[in-house]
Amino acid sequence: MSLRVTIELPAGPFVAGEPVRGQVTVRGGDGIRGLEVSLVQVEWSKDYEAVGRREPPQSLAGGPVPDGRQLPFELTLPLDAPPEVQTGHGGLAWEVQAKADVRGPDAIVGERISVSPD
Amino acid sequence: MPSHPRHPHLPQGRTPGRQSERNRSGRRFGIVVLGGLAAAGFVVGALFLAGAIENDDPSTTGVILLALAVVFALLTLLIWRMGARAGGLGHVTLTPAATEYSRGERVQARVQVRDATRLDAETEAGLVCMEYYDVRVSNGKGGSQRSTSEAVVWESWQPIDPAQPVQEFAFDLPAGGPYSHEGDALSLAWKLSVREPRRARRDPRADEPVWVYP
Repeated sequence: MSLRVTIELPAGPFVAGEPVRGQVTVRGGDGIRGLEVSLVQVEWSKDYEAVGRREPPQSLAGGPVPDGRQLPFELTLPLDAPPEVQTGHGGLAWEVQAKADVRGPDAIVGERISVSPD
Repeated sequence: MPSHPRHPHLPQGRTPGRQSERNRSGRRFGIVVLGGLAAAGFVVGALFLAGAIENDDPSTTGVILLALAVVFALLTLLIWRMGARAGGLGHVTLTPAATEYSRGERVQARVQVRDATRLDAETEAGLVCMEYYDVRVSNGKGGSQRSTSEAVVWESWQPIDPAQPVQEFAFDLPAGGPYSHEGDALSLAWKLSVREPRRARRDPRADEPVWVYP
């Protein structure tokens, strides 16, 4: 079974300093050597995307993950987390990113969250 | 306070992002290469012309070479101007009350008209937010390369009264609008600006960057 990582989150919006709780579900995680989640600020244009800021990750697993295992997490938005912005040609937003360390390229999935001003 | 010495869209003291650094080095390299080629063409053309005159042979070849030398000289001037900071409103001074604001605050600036006779009737002062966004463009060889385009995200303009030598302007930053950001794929830059609108030409303008916090 091929690896499949999904992130489940409550509906936002969130504000700076607020905890973001959710869970990561793993399918086909036999080959995982490590699994972590973190909050990242992403920016994008029509053709490119980049990570502007990455908060310290939370480790969820240090080895293989049984199929279907749900791993809860809690991350905290930084107090100075800027809110999301959408322009005509790009934008800035926060997302929860899960990274599974596997042989070859890591499996990375992200789930956008809505961060509004205080 | 003056703008950043190498990045005119940033207030002095601000750290440029990866996109700004990438574009600065690329533009500088292009100007150096093109300027070097143009200057070399001018020198070669002038040497050929001097040789033709010395040999008492001001023939058609000499006239063509003179024309080429002039073309290269103009090209060099054009390239040098491309590399120079945009401006062109020497008769107007734009002074922001501060260079740092937060969204929702009021931005204030003073405009001093030093020579009203040179002031265009449609000259206006404004607050503008620009976005610089990276796009993939053709490199002309079947591949693609990274390029940065720009667009106005938000702007507000007020007319300048030519009869008033000193005028104060105030603009309200949108509370839920964009904030300053220096990034890799996208950057957002705020500036105070004075411009003389032109049809089908680049507006002469004086810009002063400000930084807007979220």
